[in-house]
Amino acid sequence: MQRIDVDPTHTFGHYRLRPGRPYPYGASYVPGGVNFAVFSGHATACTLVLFVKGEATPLVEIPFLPEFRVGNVFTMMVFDLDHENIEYGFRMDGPCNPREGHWFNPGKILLDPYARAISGRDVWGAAPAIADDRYPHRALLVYDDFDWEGDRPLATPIEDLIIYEMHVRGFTRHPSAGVKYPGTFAAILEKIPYLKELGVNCIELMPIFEFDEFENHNVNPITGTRLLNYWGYSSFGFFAPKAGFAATGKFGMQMDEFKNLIKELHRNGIEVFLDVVFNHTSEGSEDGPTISFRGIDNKTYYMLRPDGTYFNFSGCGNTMNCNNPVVRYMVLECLRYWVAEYHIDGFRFDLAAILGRDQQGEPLANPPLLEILAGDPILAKAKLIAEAWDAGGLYLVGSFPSYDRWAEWNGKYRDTLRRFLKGDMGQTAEMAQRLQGSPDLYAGRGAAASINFITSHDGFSLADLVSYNEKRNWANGEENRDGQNDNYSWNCGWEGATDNEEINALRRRQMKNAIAMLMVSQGVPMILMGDEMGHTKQGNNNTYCQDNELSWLDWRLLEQNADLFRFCQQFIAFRKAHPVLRNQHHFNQEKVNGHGYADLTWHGVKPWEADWSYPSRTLAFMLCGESEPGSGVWDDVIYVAMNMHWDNHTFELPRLLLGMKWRLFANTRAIPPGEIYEPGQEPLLSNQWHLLVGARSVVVLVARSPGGRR
Amino acid sequence: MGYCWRLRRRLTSCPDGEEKMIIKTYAIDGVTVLALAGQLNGRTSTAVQEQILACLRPRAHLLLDMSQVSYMSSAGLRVMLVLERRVAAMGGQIVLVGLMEEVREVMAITGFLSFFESRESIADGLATLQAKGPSSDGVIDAAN
Repeated sequence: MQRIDVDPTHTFGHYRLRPGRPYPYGASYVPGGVNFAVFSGHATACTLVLFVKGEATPLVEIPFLPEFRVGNVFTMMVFDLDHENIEYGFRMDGPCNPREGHWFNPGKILLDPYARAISGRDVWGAAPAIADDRYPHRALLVYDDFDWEGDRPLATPIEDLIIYEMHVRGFTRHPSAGVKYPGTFAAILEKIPYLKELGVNCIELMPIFEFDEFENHNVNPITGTRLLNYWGYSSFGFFAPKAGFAATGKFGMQMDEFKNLIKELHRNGIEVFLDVVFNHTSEGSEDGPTISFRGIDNKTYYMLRPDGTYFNFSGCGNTMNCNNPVVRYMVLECLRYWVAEYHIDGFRFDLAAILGRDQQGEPLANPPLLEILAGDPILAKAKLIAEAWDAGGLYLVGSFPSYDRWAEWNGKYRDTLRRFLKGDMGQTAEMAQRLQGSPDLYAGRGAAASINFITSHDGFSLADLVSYNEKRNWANGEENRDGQNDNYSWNCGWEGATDNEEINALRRRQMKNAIAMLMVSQGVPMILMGDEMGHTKQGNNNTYCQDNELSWLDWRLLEQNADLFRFCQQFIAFRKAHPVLRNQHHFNQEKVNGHGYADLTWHGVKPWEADWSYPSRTLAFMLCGESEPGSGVWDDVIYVAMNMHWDNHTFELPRLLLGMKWRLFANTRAIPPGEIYEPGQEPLLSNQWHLLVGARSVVVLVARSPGGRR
Repeated sequence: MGYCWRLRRRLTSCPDGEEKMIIKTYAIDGVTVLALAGQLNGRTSTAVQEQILACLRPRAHLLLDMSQVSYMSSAGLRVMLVLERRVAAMGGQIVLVGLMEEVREVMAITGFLSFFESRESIADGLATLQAKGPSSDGVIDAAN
């Protein structure tokens, strides 16, 4: 059957046209042509601007006729386009009165907010291909089809994930990565065996929506080199993967390259999360460039003060008007697109507290956007993770509206773990909360609502956390003002690199302590790329602009810090081997189970007597639980002793059931390779009653359950 | 052995005359060889697809000599995959030979290469196809 509404009805020059369909937004193929649809609530007129790829001057400008407008959507079909060779944009006419919130300027050519591939920054860091800067970021016409060969999002239970936070470029850009196309999606493909060897089952990609690495105009005051926006928390193409992250970006094939990567990661059991930045756009403040939203409908897309200026809850100059119905819809459509078309498994929302503010910037009790995302059928299996704060001072860790769906980056976990790790007093009580999945924050939501991390892209790397007391951000060109000041870091006795063996040994132990505590915590652990091999950013805790060795993972570290890598690898394997470490819900601490003990019990140097006093720097706990809830099959008993004091302490061990024996899984004080054993190969402890836990060390024991799996 | 003139006439008559995709066809030992030359892109791909598919016969063994294909766009990748699917649906076999380095890389990175058998030389490709058993003549006018 052939549709009867696909023939041209109008002409413009030698172009044949037809009134379009208002939905879907953006450019989509129809028989013989392309349907364009763009919304503007306040524009009076709109023109479609077509370019031959890379040409400075337009091929043609076709006005949307009044009869081509449906509601506030301008839409038309254009036939016979050489679609692979076309770039398109829009001109919008309307009031220009910033005090009223309107910035219309028909002189500007604007990017389609729904563009699915964008040219102009095709090769990372290369001089822009289009010399003419009147329209530097151009929408392309693309194919959405891809042969997924049966692939679907993996839908791994969130509590079973071990997340690896990764920057696409930084992961393989360093020459030591030894890949064919450094810094690209294709290169991650080459590194899948490494990810499997490490054992992570989820990679969380820092922003991959199209952004302009050249938007940064700062200069490194030390070297005089130009700085870039390396991290990319500055999207303008929410539907478009960054071309410069694709080896095939110069051919406009970034979509296929990224999809192929996702398909292969899924084949290897690895989920893919995207770090999405809906809180602001790269158009910045009133002084920023007009790329798309500002010119298409400023008053709709941005949160404005009564005088028309931008609210700045993002710290980046503007704030997306997330609870305007149109913007809300765009965010929803965007996420649906990434799930349906790219098989993305989950999202981490940057400065997500903004998504809960109303159009005047006030926090909402029941934010429609967050509720819609939580209840959306297409997103139903996707993980939703909030960075539950914003730069406007709204801090919602533990109180983010969750609708039984949202998990959170647990900032309190990070801070408490860091303080306990460095030996601060007064931390044991809060540590007890963090180790069991922060029931003080997530009661009713479960342990899996807590994404646990000690380090992330924001702040020190793990190696720097134990090597620097103070940030060293001078290379960022902002006189060291940028970046967090509350790092809760400790340099172990010397600021920065040192030859002192004692200090270096302590630092290494502290890194292992951190990994150990992260991996035995209830909740979902997240590791920062490179921490498994001791990557240093030389004390810079905000490398957003550092496209160089500070950020790029140096793969030679894998050899230099082989024991650290092995420690991480074995601990990940240990976590995977023990369901008691991956509970969805919080412990009840009362149930007496087959071992005779509660699921979680607290201890100290004396069993059953945890020291909660202010000066205490020691804590131990024991887990006794089933392999699967209700299965009646018992997992091994796990005992963890943490001594963050500067002296050794002897811990008296809890008594086990007759026939059960303590075995040593890990002791961060021991000399490699004896500091950790392969799960299942743990040696028996000769002393079953007393355990010496060295200064600033963590020891993990297991006892096989007589009726257990082994 | 000879040119598939019908194909050639159609494919070289692009509107602006810039883009040409020449297909030479001949048969070797029951295998139909299609030698493509030029760029496989949005302008040429539809014609290439239509012409090759129109000529296909069941159980065809096709060897695509890609050594003169200097570029393959997104549209080109899709045409290749459609061709592979159609040949397979008709019980046939398809092997690519002589892919230029860049074309091969693009196909590999985007995942399209994994759907194909690819060989260095025509001789290797023929051996691969012949090992798969008997074929029909493949393209109707291969004997022109």
